[in-house]
Amino acid sequence: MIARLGLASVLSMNSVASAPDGVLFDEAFLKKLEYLHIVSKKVFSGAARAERRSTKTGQGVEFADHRNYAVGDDLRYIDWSVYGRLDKLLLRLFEEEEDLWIYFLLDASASMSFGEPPKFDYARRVVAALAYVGLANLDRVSVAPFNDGLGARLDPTRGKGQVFKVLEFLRGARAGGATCTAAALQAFVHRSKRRGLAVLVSDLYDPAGYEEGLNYLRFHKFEPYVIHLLDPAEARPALRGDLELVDAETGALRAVTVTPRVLQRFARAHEAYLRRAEEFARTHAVPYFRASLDVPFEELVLRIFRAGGFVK
Amino acid sequence: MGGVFFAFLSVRTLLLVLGGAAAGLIVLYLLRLRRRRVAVPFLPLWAEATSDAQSSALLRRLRRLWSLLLALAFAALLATAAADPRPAAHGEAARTVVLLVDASASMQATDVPPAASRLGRAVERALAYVDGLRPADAAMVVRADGQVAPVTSFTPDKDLLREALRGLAATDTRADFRGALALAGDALAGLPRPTVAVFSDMAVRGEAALGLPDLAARGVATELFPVGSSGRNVGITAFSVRRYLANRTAFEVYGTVQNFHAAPLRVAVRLYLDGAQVSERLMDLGPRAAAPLVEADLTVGDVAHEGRLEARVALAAGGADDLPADDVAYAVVPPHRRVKALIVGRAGRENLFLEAALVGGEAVDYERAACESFDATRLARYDVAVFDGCFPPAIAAAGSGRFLLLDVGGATPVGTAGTAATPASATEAVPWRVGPPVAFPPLAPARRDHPLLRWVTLADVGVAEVRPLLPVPGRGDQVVVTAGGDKAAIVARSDGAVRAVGFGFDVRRSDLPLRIAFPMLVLNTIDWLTFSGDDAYRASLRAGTVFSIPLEGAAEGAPGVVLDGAASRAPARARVTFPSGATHEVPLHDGRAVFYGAERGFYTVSGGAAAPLLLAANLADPEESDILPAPAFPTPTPLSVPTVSAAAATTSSGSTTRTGLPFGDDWWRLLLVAALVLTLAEWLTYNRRLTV
Repeated sequence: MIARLGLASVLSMNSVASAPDGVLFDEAFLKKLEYLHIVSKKVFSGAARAERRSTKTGQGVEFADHRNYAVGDDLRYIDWSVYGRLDKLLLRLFEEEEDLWIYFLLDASASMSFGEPPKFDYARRVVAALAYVGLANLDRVSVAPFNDGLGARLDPTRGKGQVFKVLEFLRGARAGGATCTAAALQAFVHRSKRRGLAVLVSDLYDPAGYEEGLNYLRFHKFEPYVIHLLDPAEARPALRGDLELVDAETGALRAVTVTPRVLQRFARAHEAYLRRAEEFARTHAVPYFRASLDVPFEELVLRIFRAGGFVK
Repeated sequence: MGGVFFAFLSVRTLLLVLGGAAAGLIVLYLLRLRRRRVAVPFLPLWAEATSDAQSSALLRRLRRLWSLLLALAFAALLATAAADPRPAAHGEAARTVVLLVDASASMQATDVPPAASRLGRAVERALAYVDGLRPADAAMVVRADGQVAPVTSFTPDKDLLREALRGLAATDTRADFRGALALAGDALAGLPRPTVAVFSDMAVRGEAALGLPDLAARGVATELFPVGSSGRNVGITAFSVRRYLANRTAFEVYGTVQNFHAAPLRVAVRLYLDGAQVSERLMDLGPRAAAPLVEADLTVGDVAHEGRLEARVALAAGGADDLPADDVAYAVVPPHRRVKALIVGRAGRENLFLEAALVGGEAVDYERAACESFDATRLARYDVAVFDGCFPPAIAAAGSGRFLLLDVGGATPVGTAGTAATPASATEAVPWRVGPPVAFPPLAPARRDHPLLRWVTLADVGVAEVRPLLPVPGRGDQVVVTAGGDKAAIVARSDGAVRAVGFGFDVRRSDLPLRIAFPMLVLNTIDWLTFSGDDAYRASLRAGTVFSIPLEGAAEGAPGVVLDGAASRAPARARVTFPSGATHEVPLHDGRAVFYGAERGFYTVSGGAAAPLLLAANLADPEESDILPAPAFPTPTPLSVPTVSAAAATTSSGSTTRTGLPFGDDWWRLLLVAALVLTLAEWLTYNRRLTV
C-alpha cells in the first residue's frame, strides 16, 4: 500500500493529523527526502549496501579467516581443501554482517529554540532526512533528544516504512531546559548496548562543555558525528543600548551596555567558540559539520554525504 | 559686550525654569534605570565579550554622571534660548534707526547676482538688519533718490518695515544723499541712540559724501552697507535734437556717449524715430572716455510732425552692461507750428511781393482783408497781422499781439481810404511816430545778429523814400535797419505780450522785393513775431528734477492776438501722462505745469488751449552712470554717542554681522545650535539604541 501511494502522499496524509508541527514535515520536505535518498544512492553507487560489515566473524558470506576446529563446530564450515593439503581441520570463518545502528542525539535544550527558523526545527529536519536515508539503507535508526538529561528516545527501528514513526517522534519533540551534554550522553551510552554511529545535532551551547560528552561516546566505541547548528544572527545580534541579558537556559542575568565595540567583541568571542568546537573535533577525529540556518538543510545533508563516512 | 539681558523672560523667571528643569532631570536620573530584558541563547559568550566593560563600575557611574550633566546642559541651553538673550550693550536703551536705502538710478545696476539689482541686494541686507533689531528698537525707512522721502514713520513693527523695504523701487534719478542724510539727522534729533544705516552702492562723488560728517557732528552713529562693485557701464549722458532753421523737415542729433568702464569698449548706437531705425554707428570708446554723438541731416516727413526719437547704445560684442537705465535716451523732434497770418491792405493794392514771400514759407497760411472793411475782432483768430498801408486804431494801445506794419509813415487808419497824408489822430494811434522822409537812403543793418536779418543782405538795396521811425523809449524798440546811417528804417518792438515790426518804407517803392533777401526778411519777421521759444528745439529734461512746463493758453499772457484785453480762462490743473502710462493731474502756476518727473521716457502734458505737449526726459547724469563705488567712502565716527558701527560689519558681500557673531544679536539661534551639537554628542557618546 505504501509503495503504491508513494512516500510523499502517505506522509502528507500523516502530517495533516499532526497539526502543531504539520509544516515541519510538509509535502515539499518529504519530496526532498526522496530526492536525498536518490542522490545518496548515486553518491554511494557500487558501494551501496544494505549492510554494514562488522568486525565480528560469523554468518556472513565473505571469507575472513580460519581457526582450528573445535568440538561442536558446524561441520559444514570445515575447509576440506586445507585439510587435504595440511591434514588439519580448520574451520572457515566468515565476516558477520550486521545492521548499522545510527543514533541521532538531538539537542532539545532551550537555546535550540532561537533562530529564524528555530535551530530546533532545522535540527529536526536534518535528523529526519538522515534517518530516512538510513532507514532506506536498512540501517537501524534511533533518535534520542536530550537537554540536561536524556529524554524519551525512539527505539531503534529499521526499514523504510518506519520513517513515519521517526517523523512522528520528531514532530512531538520539544525544546526546553538547560543543556548538560556530558550527563545526557553518559546516560545514552549506558542505555545503548549496541554501538554505532552517534550523530550529535546541537548548537553546542553547553555551559559545562560538550567535550566530555563526546569523549564518553568515543570511549565507549561509538562513532560520534557532530552537526553543529549555527544561527548567523547570533553572531551579529541586533542589540543596542542598556540591556539586561537573560540566559535562555539557566536564567542567569547580566547587565550590559551594548555598543558597537561590545558587539565586535561578542562577534570575536562567538567566532572563537566555533573555532574551538571545530578544533576539538579535528584533534579527536570526530567528523564535524557546521550547519548555518541560512543554508537549506538538504545542502547540509548532501555535504555530509559527500564528505563520506556517514554511510559506509 | 558688557553683559547680557533677556528680552523674552526675566532673569527670575529664567532661573525658576532652569531650577525646575534641573530638579526634574535629577529626579529622573535618581530613579533606577530599568534595563530592558533580552533573552539570549548563550550568556557566557556575552560575559566574555563584556568582561572589561563590566569590570569598572566607577567608570559606569561616571558615565551616568556625565549623561546627567549633558541633560542638564541641554535643558539650560533650551531655557536660555527661550529667554532670548541679547548683548547688554544693545539692551541698555532702545535704538532709533533710520534705514536709508539708496533708490537712485545706479541702484538699477545688475552686478550683484543672484539679486536682480543693487537695490534688491540692498533690500536684502536691510531686511537682515531689520531681523536683527530688538523688539524695543524703532526704525524708519527712508528712500534716497532724487526726491528723498520717508516711507514709514519710526516703528518697532518689523513686518511694516519689511513691507516698506520690499516695496522700494529704483528710480531714474540721482540720489540726494545730502538731503537724505539731513532728513535722517532731523528725524533722529532728540531720539535715543540715533543710528543711520545706509544701504547704498556708494556711487556718489564729491560733496554728497559730506553729509556724513554733518551727521556725525549731530551725534548720530552711521552704519554703511555697500552693495555692488562693478563699474562696467556705458551710457548716453546727453541727448538732444534740433530741426534745421533753414530746413525744418530735417533735424540734427547731438549727444554724448560715455564709457565708465576701465577698459575700452566698442558700442553700437542706433537711432529710432517713432520706432523705426534711422541710423546706426559704431563707436570706439576709450577707458572712462566720452565721445560726441552727432547725426546730421536726418529727415522727418512733415514739418508739423512731432517725432519721438530714441537713441539706444549697446555693446558691439553683444551682451549688456551693468546699468541699463542709461542705455536708452529720448528726445522729441518738435513740430513746426503753421502760422496763420492776416494781410490787411488797401483794396486794389495787393502786395504780391509780400504774398509770394509768405507762400515761400513752409508753414505760413495767410488770408487777406481790406483796410476799408477791416473787422478788428478777426485778429483773435490769427497768429500775426500784417498791415500794409493801414493800421487799426487801437494798435498802439494793444495789450498783446503780433503785428507787422509796412510803410508806417504812409499808412492810414483802417476804415478810411486815406492818402499819403497822415491825419494827426491817426499818427497818434500808430506805434511809432515817423520823421521827415529821406530820399534814396542807403539801408544798412543796425544789428547784424538780430533774428530778422538772419541770412539777409541789404547791400545796394535801393529805396525811393524812407520815412524813418522814431523808437519809443521804454517800449522795447530795437532799430534793426537804418537808412542813411542813423535813421530807423526797420524797428522791432518786444514789449511784454506785444511784438511788432515796423517798416519805414514802402517795399513796392524799392528793389528789395526783387532780391533774395526780401522773402528771408519777411519770413524772419514772421518767425520772430510768432516766436514763443525756439520751436525748432525742445530740450530733453533730466529725470529727477521738477519740471516746469509752459502751456499755451493755460494762463493769461499766453500767445495769441488779443486786442480787447480779455484773457482766456486758464485751467487750474494740467494732465500729465508719465512714461509708465500713469496719468496724474498737476497744478498750474503762471501757465506752467509743475511736477516732479522721476522716470525717463516720454511725458505728455495737456492743458490749456494748445495740443498736448510731448516731452522727453533722460537720466543724463554722468555721476549716476558712473556706477563704480567710490574707492574710499568716508565713514566718520559720531562725536558724542558711542557708535555701534564699530562692531558692525560693512563688508561688501557678507551678511550683516552687527556684533561679530554669525547670528548677530539673535543669540538664541546660537544656543539652539549648541543644544543640537550637545544632543549629537550625547548620541555619539552613549550610542542610544537605534534598532531595538
